[in-house]
Amino acid sequence: MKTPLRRLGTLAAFAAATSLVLTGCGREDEGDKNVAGITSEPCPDAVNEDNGCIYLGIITDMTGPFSPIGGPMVQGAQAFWKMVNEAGGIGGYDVDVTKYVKDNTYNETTHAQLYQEMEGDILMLAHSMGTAHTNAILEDARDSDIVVLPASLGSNWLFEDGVMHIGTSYCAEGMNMVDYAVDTLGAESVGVVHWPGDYGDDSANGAKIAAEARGIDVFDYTTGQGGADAQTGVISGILQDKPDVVVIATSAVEVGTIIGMTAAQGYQGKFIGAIPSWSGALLGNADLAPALQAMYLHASSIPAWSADTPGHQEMRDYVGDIEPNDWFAVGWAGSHAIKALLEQAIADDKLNRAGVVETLNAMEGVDSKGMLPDGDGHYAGDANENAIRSTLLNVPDASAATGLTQSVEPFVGPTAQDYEFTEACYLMK
Amino acid sequence: MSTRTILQSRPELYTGYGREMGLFNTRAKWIGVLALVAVAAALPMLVADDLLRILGTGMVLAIGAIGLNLVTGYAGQISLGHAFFVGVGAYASSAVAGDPEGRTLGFGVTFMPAWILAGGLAAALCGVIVAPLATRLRGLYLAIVTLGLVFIGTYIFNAWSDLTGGPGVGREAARPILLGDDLTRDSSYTSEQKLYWLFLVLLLVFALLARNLVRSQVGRAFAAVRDRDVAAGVMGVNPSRYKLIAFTVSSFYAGVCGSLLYVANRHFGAEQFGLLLSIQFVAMVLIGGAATISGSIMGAMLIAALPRISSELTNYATFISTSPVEHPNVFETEAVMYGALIVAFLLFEPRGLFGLWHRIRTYWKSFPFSY
Repeated sequence: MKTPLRRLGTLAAFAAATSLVLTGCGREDEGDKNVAGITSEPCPDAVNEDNGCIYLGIITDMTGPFSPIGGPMVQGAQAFWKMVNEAGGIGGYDVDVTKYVKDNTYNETTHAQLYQEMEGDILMLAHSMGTAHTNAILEDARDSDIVVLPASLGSNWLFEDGVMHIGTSYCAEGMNMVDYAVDTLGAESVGVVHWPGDYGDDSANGAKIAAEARGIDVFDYTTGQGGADAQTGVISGILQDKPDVVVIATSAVEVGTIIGMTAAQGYQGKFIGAIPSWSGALLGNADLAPALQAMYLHASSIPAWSADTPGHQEMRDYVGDIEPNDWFAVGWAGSHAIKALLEQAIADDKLNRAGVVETLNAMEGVDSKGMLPDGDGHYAGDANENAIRSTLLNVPDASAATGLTQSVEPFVGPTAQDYEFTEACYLMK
Repeated sequence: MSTRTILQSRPELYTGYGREMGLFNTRAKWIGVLALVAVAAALPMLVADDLLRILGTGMVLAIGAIGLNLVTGYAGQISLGHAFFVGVGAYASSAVAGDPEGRTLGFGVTFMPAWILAGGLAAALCGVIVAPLATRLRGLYLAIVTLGLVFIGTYIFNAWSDLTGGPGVGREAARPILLGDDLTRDSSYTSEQKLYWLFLVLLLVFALLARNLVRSQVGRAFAAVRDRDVAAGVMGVNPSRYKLIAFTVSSFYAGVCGSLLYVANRHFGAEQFGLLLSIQFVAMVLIGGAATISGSIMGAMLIAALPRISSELTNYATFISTSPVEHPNVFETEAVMYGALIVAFLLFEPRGLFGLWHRIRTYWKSFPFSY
């Protein structure tokens, strides 16, 4: 009779034999990673049946706090590539930005999981929502030679290879917000409301760097996601400290709550919000709208929907009668950079993952028809010199198509002008 | 053929206590397990990577589910705090294996068995600390107290950003490097294949260990404590001692599960170890079958496959949308399925998937007189 030990021995021998068999036969090689994301077959629902297909991945927030941003940005990118495909595509390929579109719910673990699921099927990640979220996948993307365009403006992107960053970083934007508060609004103290984490900390640290450089008082209010219940600490802090200006780096949900409730309790300072802090839906709240119009300024580096540039005009002409949205315009604008990258890679006969990375590292600019800030799309050379530093300001305007009107032309404040970027601002304690 | 051999080949007839309590007490079980292991080992050559990812996750969850089944199914101590122990394991292992120069705490010990054990041991230590609660509480009261652990854990994980990366940031999971080969990187085999085999081997090891534990004196003591701890005490079984063992072993399994759970994902955040994860483990045990090791594995596989099942449902139920902004969508369907499965199994098959399998087995055993 066999003892349990002998049976386990048999099992172990069986497992060893199985493993030996397995090491002898691998699965058929399913393709070189260098051509992953590119097929000679047409795209699904192709505009040009004779063209091959380039697949770009998108991981965005469709149901979380930044869903008012993620959805329209993706629609903007999809409309842009539809226009390009209808004009014949690029280099014999149509570009697909619809097959690999996933919702990360603004959760970094989900983001990493979704990336792993699409990694083998895309040429590059054309939209990766969230700074920490994109950080979570960046090393893997680099290992697989996948270029990533973050839908995030962390200052860390300046120092990361394989990242196609556009616009002014949250950090430089934070500096400009404080410089504007000091120079134009006469602020002698500033409050900094921000989420913990890479986005909020990047903006807050930029603001603190400027506040220190300008010699004004600064109050830090770190807060979590959510409405009134989650914001009581911040609201009472602002009411108690009474900073002249509050810089705010959260989502629109927190902006609406904090401005509405501080205004209702007599606070009369100004708020300047980072680029992701705005949603046109805020103006839909009749009780909140007057306070927003009186107290809120929205910082950005990418002009809004109604901007007077050839690129914006082309976008408006193409999409025709749709509901205007500033984030749609940002998604469209960013796609100009990707198109320039892919066209250059095709021209250099480097249309594969490694070739696209190589092309990105040599890029010295993008013709975005005026949609992106001057100097954007420059990735070759020194990170500090490549940093975009300009910020424009919008004000809520119920009569404007998207609820925002540009009130201050792009400017670079004295702090951002002289600042030398040597590391990600959010890492500074 | 000798009489002894004939008797041995009869099902349900054991000629000795040792044989009845054997790990594989019938020839059919022995052959069945061998066949199952062979099929499982060959699966990566036959199945696409996306399915392997689901199966791999299922196997890791199964290790955690076996742990919960040990404390809840076998020893009768209801625990809703399993997610906390999984979290402790995840953070301990990733800290041990983490880059000392990285943003979060790391000790640079990349030897895989070391960080898996570290995850298990750290969680087991927490189990030892929590176990005394179980000696003073039972039933619903113990459930509520262990529920509290999840909330305490969530707070600690969010606040201790040097270890966890903090809310909204997270940290890297440990890298499984075996004989110099990073299993999360494609080489001759894809990362999904390699991780699948790793998880399969670990699941086999931990399932066998658990099976051995529950058929030993300790397992019988667990059952005695579960059925009536006062009576167990009268029989000479020390309930406090066995509750301590149950919580410690269960937490160890949860810690090992945590150390492996995000290896394929490579990154995880503090929000993962909330009440939902605890509920998922309870669902695995209830759906799979309480007090069965194979049931825990079946339950974990089913729960891991639920997102895929709900997305496949859209091919048949076209009113279910794949878009998260439309209703009803696959994510809502998945959530409803968790609840529906728990309710359905408790009502119609309290022994879970194991019970279903048992019915099928009994049907064929008595065929053609099955009624």
